[in-house]
Amino acid sequence: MINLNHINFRYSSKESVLEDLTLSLAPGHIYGLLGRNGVGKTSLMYILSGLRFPNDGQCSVIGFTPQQRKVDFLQQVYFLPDEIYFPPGAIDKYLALYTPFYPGFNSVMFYDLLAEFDIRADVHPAKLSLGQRKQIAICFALALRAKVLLLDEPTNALDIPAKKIFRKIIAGGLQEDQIIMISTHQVKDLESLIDHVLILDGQKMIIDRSIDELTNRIAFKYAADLEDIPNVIYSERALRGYATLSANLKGEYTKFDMELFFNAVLDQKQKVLSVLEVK
Amino acid sequence: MELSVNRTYLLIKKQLTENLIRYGLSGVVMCMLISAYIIIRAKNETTTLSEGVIYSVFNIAPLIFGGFFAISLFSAFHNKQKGTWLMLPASALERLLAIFILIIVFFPVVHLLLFAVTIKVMSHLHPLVSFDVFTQNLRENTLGSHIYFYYYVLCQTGVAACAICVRRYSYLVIPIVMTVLFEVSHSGYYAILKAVFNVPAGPTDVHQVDVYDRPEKWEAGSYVKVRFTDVTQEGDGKKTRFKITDKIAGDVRGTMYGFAYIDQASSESAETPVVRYFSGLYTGHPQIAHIRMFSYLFYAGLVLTWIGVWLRIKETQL
Repeated sequence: MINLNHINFRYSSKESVLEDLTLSLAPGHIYGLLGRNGVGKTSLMYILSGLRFPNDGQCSVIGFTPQQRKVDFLQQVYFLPDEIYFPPGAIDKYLALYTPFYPGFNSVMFYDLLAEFDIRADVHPAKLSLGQRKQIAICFALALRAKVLLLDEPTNALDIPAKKIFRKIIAGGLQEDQIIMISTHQVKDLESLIDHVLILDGQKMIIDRSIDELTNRIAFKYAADLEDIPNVIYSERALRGYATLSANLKGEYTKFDMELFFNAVLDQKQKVLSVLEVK
Repeated sequence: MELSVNRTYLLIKKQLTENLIRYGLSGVVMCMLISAYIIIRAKNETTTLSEGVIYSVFNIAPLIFGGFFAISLFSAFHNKQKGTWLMLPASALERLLAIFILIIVFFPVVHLLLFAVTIKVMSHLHPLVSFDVFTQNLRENTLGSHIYFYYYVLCQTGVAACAICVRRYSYLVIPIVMTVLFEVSHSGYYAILKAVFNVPAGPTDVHQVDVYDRPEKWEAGSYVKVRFTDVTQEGDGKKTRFKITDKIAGDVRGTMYGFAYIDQASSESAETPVVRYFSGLYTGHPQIAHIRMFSYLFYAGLVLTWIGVWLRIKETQL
């Protein structure tokens, strides 16, 4: 449904942001796009949504070439940016102006989601805090029932209860023919939500694996002493011991720790890639 | 090419609704500035303000205010709303059409209404301002209206072309760019007229009339104020349309149209000749009619510029 073939992208400066990026994403999954600051996560989302054009390579999103920005494409692919803009006025005025452009918009769903966040339907979004504006924007994005939903740092500025609701409504709202891609730094927030991990580093997509594939090959364990666990690839100090990441040689089931995994990839990239048999 | 009338309408509605307060305040400021200018001009007048004063404000104001309006329409391509604007499901052609309609149709209509209301209100408040002078001129000087509308379209096309390209300080940069472009093209146009067609710089004598308010340059489209010193045709006190022909030794160098009230004819030996003033639009040398291709080139240029703006909208990235 989303296919990127040998995508190269750079801004006007000569430094490349994405190099020879090839990626294929299937519907019915929630993809977590991780990476350091400035590695190109948002740029990748821009390319997928047609807001930026790749310098080389082919990009196909639900059968469309994003940079053509066809109306049908824009109705089915929605990008929720980190910075949210709302024009002055109440929510119903906003809906009256914007939803006619989206035939798939479900207003009942929108108001239900709004109620989940405990936001009144008569508020003026432009006058609310960033977190509340973001909650409204998330409700709007989900109610569009777009086939591709690209969320850039959606949990930024959300408080803890709102993050919980966000996880609930995203998990409950995913449709079989829908792709949701979430770019985030706050990996802990979305650990239980994401079923496929994408990690960008050094202009490349170095990790493109489902959670199941990762837990089949990697074990996440806690130990009082590092010597208790053999073949530790990466460890972090934790309460009363260590959180460790090691090769899952015995086929054990361990709970995936996304933050630990992400840190391990950045710190011990070659070792982790070797365990995952990534070339 | 994707084109939906409904989506174009939705884009226009969205633009107007979201900026209702801003446009409303701009309209009020425009009316106040027009009123202030007319009051200042009226200070030096003893009789009712001529149509030339009101008409020139009526025509020049949309060039200035319309320019700022056009810049504001393109601001969504450069500011924080850019992503939202580009992601809105509408084609580049529909976006262009919405902007075009707002600039070329919506603004002139609103300007006409606001100007008429301003003059009407002022005619009640100021003794030298006449609403009838404005409406009569609007009705009768259709040639002038067409020419100024053409200038308006030309000017706003230039603003649109600049506004889609200039990212920062557009409200400052674009007026400067437009002024430079206008001066360069204007001088170039008349240099070509002079060099290729030997169109004279201006009359040295005007048949039967004195030039009261001599412009620095005699150009097609100039508003010229003329004083009659020898009116031999008796009038009935009603407003009469005049065609003034500028001749030298029988050679027609230019024509001018205007209106004046003629009450009585003067005799050649009259000690106090009837003196009347009127303003008109100087249409220039008849040879200009032979170089209409310039006009056609300008029209082609307008179309090409809007096509360029459309392509630029298509290629706009965040």
